[in-house]
Amino acid sequence: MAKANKREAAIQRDVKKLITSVTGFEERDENFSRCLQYVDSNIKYHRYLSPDSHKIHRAIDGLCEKFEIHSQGQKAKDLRDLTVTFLDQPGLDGKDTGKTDVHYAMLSLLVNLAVAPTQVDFSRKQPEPTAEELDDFDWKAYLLDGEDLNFLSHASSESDEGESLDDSGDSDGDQRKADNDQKLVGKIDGDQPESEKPGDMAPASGTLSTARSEGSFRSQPAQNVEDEYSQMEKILVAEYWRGKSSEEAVGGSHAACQMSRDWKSYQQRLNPFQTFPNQVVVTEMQVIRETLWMLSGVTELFVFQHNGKEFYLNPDVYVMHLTPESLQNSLIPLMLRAQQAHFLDTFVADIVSQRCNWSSSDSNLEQSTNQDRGHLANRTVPQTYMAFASCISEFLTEFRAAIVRVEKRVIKQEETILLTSIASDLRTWLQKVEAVHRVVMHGVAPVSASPLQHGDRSITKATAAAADGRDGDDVFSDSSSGGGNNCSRATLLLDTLYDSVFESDLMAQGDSAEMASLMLRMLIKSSQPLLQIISDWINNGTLADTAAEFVLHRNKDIKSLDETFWEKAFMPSVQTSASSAELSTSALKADTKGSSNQGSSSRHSQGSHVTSEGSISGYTDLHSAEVIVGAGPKLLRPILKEAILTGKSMEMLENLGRMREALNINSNIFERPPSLYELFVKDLQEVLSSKKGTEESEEVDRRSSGARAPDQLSPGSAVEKISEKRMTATQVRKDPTIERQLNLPGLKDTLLNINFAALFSYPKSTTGSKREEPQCPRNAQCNLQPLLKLCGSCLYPHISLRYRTVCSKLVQILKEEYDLMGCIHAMQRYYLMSAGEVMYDFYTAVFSKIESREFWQDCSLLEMNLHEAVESLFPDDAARLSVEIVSTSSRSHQKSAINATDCIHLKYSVPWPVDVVISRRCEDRYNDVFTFILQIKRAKFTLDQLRFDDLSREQSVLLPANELFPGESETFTRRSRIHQFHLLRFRLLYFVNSLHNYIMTQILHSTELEFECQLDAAVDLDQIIHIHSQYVDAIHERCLLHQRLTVLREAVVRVLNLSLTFGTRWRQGVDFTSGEAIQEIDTELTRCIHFLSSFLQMVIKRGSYPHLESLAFALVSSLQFKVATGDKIS
Amino acid sequence: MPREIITLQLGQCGNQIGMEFWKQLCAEHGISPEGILEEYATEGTDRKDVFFYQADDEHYIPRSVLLDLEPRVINGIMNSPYANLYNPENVYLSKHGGGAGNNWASGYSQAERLYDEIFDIIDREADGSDSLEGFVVCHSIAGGTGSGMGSYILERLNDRFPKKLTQTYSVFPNVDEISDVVVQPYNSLLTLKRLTQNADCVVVLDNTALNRIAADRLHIDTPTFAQVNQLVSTVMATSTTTLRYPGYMNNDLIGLIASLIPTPRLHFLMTGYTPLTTDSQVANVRKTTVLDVMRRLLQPKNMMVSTPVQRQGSNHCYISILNIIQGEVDPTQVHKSLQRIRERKLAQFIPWGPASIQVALSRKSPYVQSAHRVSGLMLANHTNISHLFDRILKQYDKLRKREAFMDQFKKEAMFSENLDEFDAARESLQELVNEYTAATRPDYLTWGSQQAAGT
Repeated sequence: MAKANKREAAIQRDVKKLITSVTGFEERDENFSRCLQYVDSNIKYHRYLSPDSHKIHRAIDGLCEKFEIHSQGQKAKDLRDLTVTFLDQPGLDGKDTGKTDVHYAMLSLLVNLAVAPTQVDFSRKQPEPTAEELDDFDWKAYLLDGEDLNFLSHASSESDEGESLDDSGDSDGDQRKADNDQKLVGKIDGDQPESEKPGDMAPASGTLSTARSEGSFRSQPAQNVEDEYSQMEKILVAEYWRGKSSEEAVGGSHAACQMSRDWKSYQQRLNPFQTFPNQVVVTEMQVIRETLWMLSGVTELFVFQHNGKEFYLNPDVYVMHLTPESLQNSLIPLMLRAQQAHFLDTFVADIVSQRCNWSSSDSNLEQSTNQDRGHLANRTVPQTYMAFASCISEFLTEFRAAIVRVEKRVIKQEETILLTSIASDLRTWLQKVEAVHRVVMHGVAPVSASPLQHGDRSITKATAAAADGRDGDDVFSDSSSGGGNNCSRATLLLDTLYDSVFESDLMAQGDSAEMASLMLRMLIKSSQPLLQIISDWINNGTLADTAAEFVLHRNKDIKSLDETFWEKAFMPSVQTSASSAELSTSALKADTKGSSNQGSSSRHSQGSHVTSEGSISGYTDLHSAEVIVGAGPKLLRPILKEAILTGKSMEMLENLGRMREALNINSNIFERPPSLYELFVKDLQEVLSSKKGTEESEEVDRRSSGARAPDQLSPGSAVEKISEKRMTATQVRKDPTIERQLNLPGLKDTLLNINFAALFSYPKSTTGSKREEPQCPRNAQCNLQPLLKLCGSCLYPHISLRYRTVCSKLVQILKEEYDLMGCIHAMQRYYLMSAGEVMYDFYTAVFSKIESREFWQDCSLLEMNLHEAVESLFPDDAARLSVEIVSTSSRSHQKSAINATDCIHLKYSVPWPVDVVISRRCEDRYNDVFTFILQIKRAKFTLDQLRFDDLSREQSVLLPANELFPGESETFTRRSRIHQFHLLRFRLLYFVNSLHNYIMTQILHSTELEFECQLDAAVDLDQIIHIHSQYVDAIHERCLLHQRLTVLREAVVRVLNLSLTFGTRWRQGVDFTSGEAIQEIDTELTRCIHFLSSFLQMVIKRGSYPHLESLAFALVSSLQFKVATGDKIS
Repeated sequence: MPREIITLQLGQCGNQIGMEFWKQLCAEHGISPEGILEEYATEGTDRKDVFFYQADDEHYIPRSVLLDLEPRVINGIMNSPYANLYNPENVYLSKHGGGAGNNWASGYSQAERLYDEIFDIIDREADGSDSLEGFVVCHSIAGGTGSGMGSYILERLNDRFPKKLTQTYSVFPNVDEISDVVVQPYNSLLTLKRLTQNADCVVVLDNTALNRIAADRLHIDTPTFAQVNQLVSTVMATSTTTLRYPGYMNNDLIGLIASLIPTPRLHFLMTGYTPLTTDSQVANVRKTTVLDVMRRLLQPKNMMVSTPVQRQGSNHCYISILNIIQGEVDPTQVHKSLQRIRERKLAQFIPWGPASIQVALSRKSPYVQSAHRVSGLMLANHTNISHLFDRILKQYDKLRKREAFMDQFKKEAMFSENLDEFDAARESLQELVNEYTAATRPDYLTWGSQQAAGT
């Protein structure tokens, strides 16, 4: 309301002004009041039309045209420009676009007000350049606030000054802005449209910002340097590095200050001719500060001198209160540490500059087998090294920050600081430096044992190694020759870290846990690249290992769709088996020494079947798998096999195009499983923070929430709390009886207590979380220290989980979609003839042809036979099966009739993913078995087909039997010979049937049953491959085809061959065979059976081939009658 | 390539047991009485084409020839639900329909006259098969048609198909009850001569034993023909089961019987079956492990031949044994059982050769419900079978002494002039008995030469 009144009053005032100026009436005039009324009514009741933009444009266009006609082109142009600019100007009428009604209203007003524009002289005002304001704000001081860079003097009031300047500047700007605005309004108010300057508005705010960037902090003019220098000289310490300090200035009156002088005079007394070099006296404070600088990596020092490798005390320096010797002695440990810190610096710098001279040159020769790979390995720095280097640099930064803190205290000079107190203050830090240095020496240096020179930082490793020797803890000093490639380097480094975590964790029980936490942090961070590689591999199926530091590398020669994919696609990075074996043995040595960790790795290798029959099967991959795992870092070793299997499986799944399923991605195709490393660290933090007591829960929350930020991983910080918490938390929870037991007088053992505490804390923290369950079998690691066990428990389940999902998925896919079982069954059907009737059709045709001496060795004919037999029952298999004729001359040197069929080899083309399981080697084995079964079948067939009629058929013999076989005695009449034939057939049949029965039922059937049980239980593809190849081997062996059973097999084959010979004689008829010939066959058969049965008996007694028992029994029982009537035959 | 087997059903008895046999096969293969495959049986992996062939309209038709000289039994079949199963062209009924009058000679001579018509059918059937393995003849040896016609056909089969197997299921007469056929011994003797010389394998189905088993084991007081025939059909079906349900072994008939028969004449096989049940006592709960089955098979009371198998004082023994075990069996169990049997000497074997006891495993028909997990059939070659022949010889001798009923035979051309055929048959049978006896002794090895020396 008030506003309305106010506005009304303003309007009233303006209206009066208007009337006065337009009409010239006085206010008291009657006409004036009339005018007023008119205007009022007009304003109040008259509806003004809103300005028509077209009309205005037309008017302006008209004006412009008029100007041009009056040859005032410049004016026209200006007018047009200005109107356009004005119209585009936002901000009027509460809108932020131009060309509002208000714009047009104003324009129309101006246009209407204009009187004879052509008459007016107009020149457009140039925007006057405004002088840029100086910003006096002291940016440098502002930015450097809190950083202490000034050693010599402190800025006194600079910051205050800057503050005030800043304030004034700000107010200035504001004012200017207000002015500008006012000016604009005023100009618009001005009568001429040309006078508008909306452009001024923009730079008003801009000047301020640009001005700010310009610092007023300039280097002080150096005109009076000399004055100041002399002035400073009075304030500052004496330039002792120029020998300007004097004993008088330094020394005090205290007796202790005379120590050096007394000592000198004492020595002079002892030896008058002793000369003392011209020495420089320094104060302890100076020594302290130089020590601190030295520790922070400065090499250009006075008190300490650096020869590129190590620091040594400047011999020209002495302090007043110590003898030079004692000074030297007290400084030696510090110098050593400084030297080590410097070494670490060098290491970091080298790694950062990608100078991988840390690889030994002799590794080139070693890797001649794999040239480009070796090249690659030598050229690139292992990512593990990089990660480790970044850890070290982080550590060094912290270390230096600590030193800076100490130095600040020193600078303040508010307390008494002595060299020893500095040393003790920095003790833990120095220990850490030493430990880290040791890790570098052991983990990195041994690989590059050969002395190497690189640039100015030449570090003789030999002496460094010698320095290690002094430490007496030479875990890997013997393995300095082990492999020069990145894999072994990374492994060695991680192993060293692992060991040092282990050690420091052991020590942490009594000591502080800081060291352990540092080491753990380093271990975790350094293993990140490897974990990342594994993570990529098991999550995405790609083995992205640029620096070739993983234990495996992708063999580029093997395509993904190759049957040897599983076996050969990934080659161990460790080059020679000898070196890897050496590495693993040395690792094992280290294990037995350290933690007896190897039990877990060997136990992990899938149990009995691997170890028990590995030697028989000769499956080399088993061996190499263990070697590969052995070459991995200890942290990963228990899980490495699973990881490798998972990775392989992933790649396989990818090739099958089924990766998405294994990833468990439901909706989002871009979603990727979280990185292994992140999971690991997250878990570790959770486990660690769950150990904390409730009173610290707030802190935990803060910490864990802070730590969850991806780039702020600080597992180490949490670790620090463990040991303390481990003690307190568990002592609360511990069973009171145990407590009592432990604390019995005389029995109390602190270490025992601590160990108990550690033992009890672990299960507490992990029970209840489901994922820990698979950890149970890892109890072999129980003697590991909790910290590492904790790591394992946080890391392994993730891999195991992936392992289970991926591998079982792959197995499932193979089984269900690629019909693994179907293929195996097909192999059994044809090679092992479990589809008896089908194969019967096939082989009887062949046998008949052989018998009737027709030509049969024709591939296509056989194949046709086979297909015909197969088609009716298994139409799908016909296309895959083929027959090939193999020349067997090389295989069997003595060629007997029974070997005729050896040349038949079946070929079953196994589709791709399955042929990883049913490899060519397996197929060869299958073919061996097939050949053997075919021989048995042939013997059986031949004997079965013998008809009594054929034998006794009257032959048109030219001579009677007596004359054909002159030596024939009377007893061998025709009839008796026939009878002999009959009985011999019966015995041969029995033998062949027994053998056949044994092979077909006992072996094929029973072995298959065992095999299928195992197969159902198999989790991953590797197991399936092993089980299958073992199955094939078992069959191979049980079919007497194994090398060791050659003797047995030869006897069997002899009998089979005998059957064929016998069959031929039978078919020829009795009249062509003498009784002696029959006797011969009989004797040989008896001999073979004798031999076989006694041999088998022996074998069975030893118990090595239990499955042979039934065959042996059958043979033995067939001999019993011989024993009864033995004298007749033998 | 099925190895087809053609079944010849001769005479009243042969057609009856043949009928039962086909019923059993149809049930086991899921074939309806009309020859149509049942819905549930389409997926089977069994081999129907050994015994059946498929007509153009998908009907399964038995490879079977039905022959009789009198229409009663065949008419009965033709009025049964299975009438449409058979190929009507394969059913041959003698025109005059008077039968053979239980006279071997009549049957033999009638068959001689009908030779062309009969062998037209058999030839056609044989031509219709790819790789004929052999013939199975069902008949009785005591009647007229089965024995006489059977004998004739056996001789002719041997001539015409010398390479094919001939297996017979021969029903031996029941000696316990007074038969209405008084000339049984004559008929049997004459038939046995052909069985000895012209058949490859004879499965002896002794009516005496079958009736006894039906009475004792199945507790049926007066066993009907149907019940006895059920036993027979079970035996027949089981003995062919490995051919019909192929496994990794024993896929041909010859493989089955070759190991059983050491010499050409010793081919008379006894059978035993366990567990025996009829429909009324399916609930009979027994333990049927492989060992149990195999042990029980060796017990004389389960033997379907009425001979005292383990008679004291004699050294009769097994020449060879084949056990066909049906059901879900683990082969290792079989081997263990075999070992057990051998160890305990549950069976007495010949002294001159290996203790040939073989086991063939076979699947069971999925369509026939059985209360037993495992069942077994034993085919055994036992020297004691000679007892059966001995009995026939004795009966023959008694009749012959009196020349009883000889005039019936003399009516036929074969015997009109002399009775040499009888003498020859008797001699042949006597030789068979002698050989069986010789086979019980260790010196059987040199039996041939002794024989030669003797003669």
